[in-house]
Amino acid sequence: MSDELEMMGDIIEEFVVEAEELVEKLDGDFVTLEKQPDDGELLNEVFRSAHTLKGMASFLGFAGITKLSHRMEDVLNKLRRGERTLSPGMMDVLLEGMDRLRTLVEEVKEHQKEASDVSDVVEKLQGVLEGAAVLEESSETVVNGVEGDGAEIIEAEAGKDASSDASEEEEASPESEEPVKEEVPVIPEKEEEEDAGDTMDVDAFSEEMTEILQDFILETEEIIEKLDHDLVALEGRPDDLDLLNEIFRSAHTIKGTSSFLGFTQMTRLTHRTEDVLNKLRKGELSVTADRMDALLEAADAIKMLLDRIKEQNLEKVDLSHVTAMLEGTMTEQGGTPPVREQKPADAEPEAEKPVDKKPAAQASVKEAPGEAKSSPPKMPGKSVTDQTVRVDVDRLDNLMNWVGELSLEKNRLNRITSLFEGAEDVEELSGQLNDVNAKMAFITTELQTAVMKTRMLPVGKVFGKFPRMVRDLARDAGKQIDLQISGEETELDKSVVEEIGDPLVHLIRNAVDHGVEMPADRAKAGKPEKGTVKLCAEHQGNHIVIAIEDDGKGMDPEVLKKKAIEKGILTEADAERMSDRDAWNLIFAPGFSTAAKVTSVSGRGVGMDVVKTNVAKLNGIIDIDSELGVGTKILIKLPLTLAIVNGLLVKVSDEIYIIPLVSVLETVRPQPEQMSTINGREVIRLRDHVLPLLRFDEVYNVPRNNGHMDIPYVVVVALADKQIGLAVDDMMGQEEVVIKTLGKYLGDMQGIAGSAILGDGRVRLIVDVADLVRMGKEE
Amino acid sequence: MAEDMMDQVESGDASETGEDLLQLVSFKIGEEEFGVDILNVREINRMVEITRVPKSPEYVEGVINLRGKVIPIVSLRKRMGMPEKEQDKDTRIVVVELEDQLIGFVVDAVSEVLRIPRNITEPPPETASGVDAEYITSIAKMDERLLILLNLNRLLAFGDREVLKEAA
Repeated sequence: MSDELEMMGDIIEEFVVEAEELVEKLDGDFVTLEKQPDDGELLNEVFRSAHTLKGMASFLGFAGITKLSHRMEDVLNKLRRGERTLSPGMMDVLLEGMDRLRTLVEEVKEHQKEASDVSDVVEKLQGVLEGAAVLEESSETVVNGVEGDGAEIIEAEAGKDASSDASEEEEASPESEEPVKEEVPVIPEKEEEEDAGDTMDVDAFSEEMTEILQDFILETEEIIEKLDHDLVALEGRPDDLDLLNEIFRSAHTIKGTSSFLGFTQMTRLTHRTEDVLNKLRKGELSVTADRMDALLEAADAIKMLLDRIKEQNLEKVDLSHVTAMLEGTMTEQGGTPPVREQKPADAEPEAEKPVDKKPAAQASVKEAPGEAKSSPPKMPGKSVTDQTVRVDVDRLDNLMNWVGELSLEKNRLNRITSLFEGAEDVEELSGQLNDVNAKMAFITTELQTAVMKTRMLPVGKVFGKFPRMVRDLARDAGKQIDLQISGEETELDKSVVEEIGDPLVHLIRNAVDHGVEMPADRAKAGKPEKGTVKLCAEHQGNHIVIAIEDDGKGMDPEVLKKKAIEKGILTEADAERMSDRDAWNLIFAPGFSTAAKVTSVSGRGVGMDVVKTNVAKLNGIIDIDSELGVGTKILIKLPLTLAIVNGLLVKVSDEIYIIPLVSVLETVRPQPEQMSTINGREVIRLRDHVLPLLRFDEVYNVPRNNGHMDIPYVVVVALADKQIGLAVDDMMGQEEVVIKTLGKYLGDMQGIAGSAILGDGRVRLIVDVADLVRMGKEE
Repeated sequence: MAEDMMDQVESGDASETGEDLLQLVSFKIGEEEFGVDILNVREINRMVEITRVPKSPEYVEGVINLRGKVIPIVSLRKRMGMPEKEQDKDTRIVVVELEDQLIGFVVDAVSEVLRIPRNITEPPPETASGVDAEYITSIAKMDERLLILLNLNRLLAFGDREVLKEAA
């Protein structure tokens, strides 16, 4: 997590870069869309772009961009659901919106803030939303009649829009897992205020200071993360004095270092926090939900201050709200229950008063974050600072060690080679050579592992933020949920760790929101009132398997099918013969959301779509298992690294290809009776599954001398939630290979993920399972 | 091969000022002789086994392993629309560096390294011996022969990516 922050660097600049790309892409896509208004895939793509833009802008508090992209998203959503068809007039408005978005991004680029007013376009979009007919009078209807006719069709949508509209402070968009609730609205307003909040002037960022500052930021990030984590833990164990001391020390450290560097606001805030903690420690105050809220709020505020320091923005921030909360908890003594044991029973008895500690405006915009979610963690991905890894010295030593061994063997090899010249006892020498060879093989394997390990991070980096997120979500929903995390020490490649955070956020939100029932319902069903969400990671061979399991109500395949039919994702006929597993997978379809009521956590069905997309990007597999009334378990299987792939070598005609083993479910020698065709497409029957069958040579245009082949082998590959069979001539075993790109010149070749140099020195191509699965669908 | 290239360097026609000289690697495709700026050329290799890349443009032969790097190989014959020819002992891969990337192209034979004064080059005529004029930088007329200086950026489809994409 601290990594994630590390990466955020100059966040605005990054935002601009990304936003420009998105606007560029949107522009192009819109034009294509006009030509192909029925292209659902494209619509989803456009929707996602707008959505991402909205998320990022709202995260940074750019109200104009947020509002505008939000409206565009609304319109696109209607198009996507088929509730509207794309008319030229509508396109005009959308394109106008695009232009204004571009202007806003320009403005942010130039002046770090938005200047122009976009309410006119927002209104026009609103008009489009209510039906093209009322386009002219749309301006009167902005605030209330939001959804107009659409309301009955999807009450969820209407509820959402109405509420987000009511609070025009979209910019507040709270981020529960990126605890920035408080700071976001502050940024734009404070922009004009020249009143310097901290005593430090711009010199603070002179070169000499930079290093000290970076250390400070790095260290403080780690402490805050720990603080966050410890505070949540404290709520469950209010009597744990060691933990309290630990928390106190954390706050104390931040106070010390920040005061040293002259960040007075941060110092003051941590000082207040420390005061509260001190009283808790001494037993003068007890741990209550409200106090915890205040403390967590304070932790968020500290984090926000830190983020601003990173952006080199030292303007004063209004923290009165947080300090008031802290003060409040200190004087409230009389009202607090004297008995500490009252709390621990369960962490959430405060569910009845969930909003009192948050300003009304923010409570009301709670609708937005569901979607905003997806974007912020993505931004760091492109950062430059992101390219560094902190490596444990032990690992480097180990690496050095193996390199040393390697040069020893190399010397031995040299010696043997020289002995060969004019040697009589060749047999003896070849024995030695064999020995060297074996050692070299061993060392290079170890070396490879060691190098790989320098890129490995514990998955706990991502898990760290979840306890807080689940706590906040559960509180807001009035649910009682215990998050159990295990296997956080499981390591995987840095690049994978970065990509996996996002999908996990959505899956956990999903479990909390849709999985676990309200306490009353749970009691009725004879379950403990407090639900459990388990998050667990473990290694399985060369893969990591992450499981998200809840003991909630489970998913009803019939309900899912019905919903999918309603949304036009599924035909009744298809639903008939759909297996339960396939029905569960429907939740990953774009635009699918089963929540009867839209809450802060359930968005517009973008979330699960993101999960699928991201997991597919990592060549991962998703597996769902659910039992009505018992719970749902979602498994994500991912490769440990993106740099090395364990591949299955297959032979097709005279060519050899590599299929990433992580995508391979099984290989079969099909019997003739397993093969058949449905609607002219070849399929293979595997136990109770019917999978589309692709012939490798046809997909990859492999030249073949001997006509139409029968099918000796079928490799069953899977990606995210899809499976297909791939017909090949022969299996050539498996090999661990280092992935190399085909380079810029060839660019992205369809169906090819990259290349690798095999033991024989030849280049072989790695099959892109994602593309294959897509082709399987299209054919 | 290295030796015969060295010999040829000496025999280069131009040795005037030493200033306005072009140093070229010349090679043959069919009966025609071509030249590329030596600064672009990284190395010249014998033919190796090329791995076909499905769905790549027709003129891309595939990829090879160049000491641990995977680099694409383009057939200049196909690229310039000339008939194909079986590879033989003279067939070479010329590896060039363009825009920080290594690319190899297949030629019938590499002839020599030579220096020519810039002033004997001329802009290409509209139709230059079957090769598209857009791929030609200039033409050098030397005593008995004609050397076609190729525009590698053009030829290897840099700045011509759309074509590449469509073909893909």
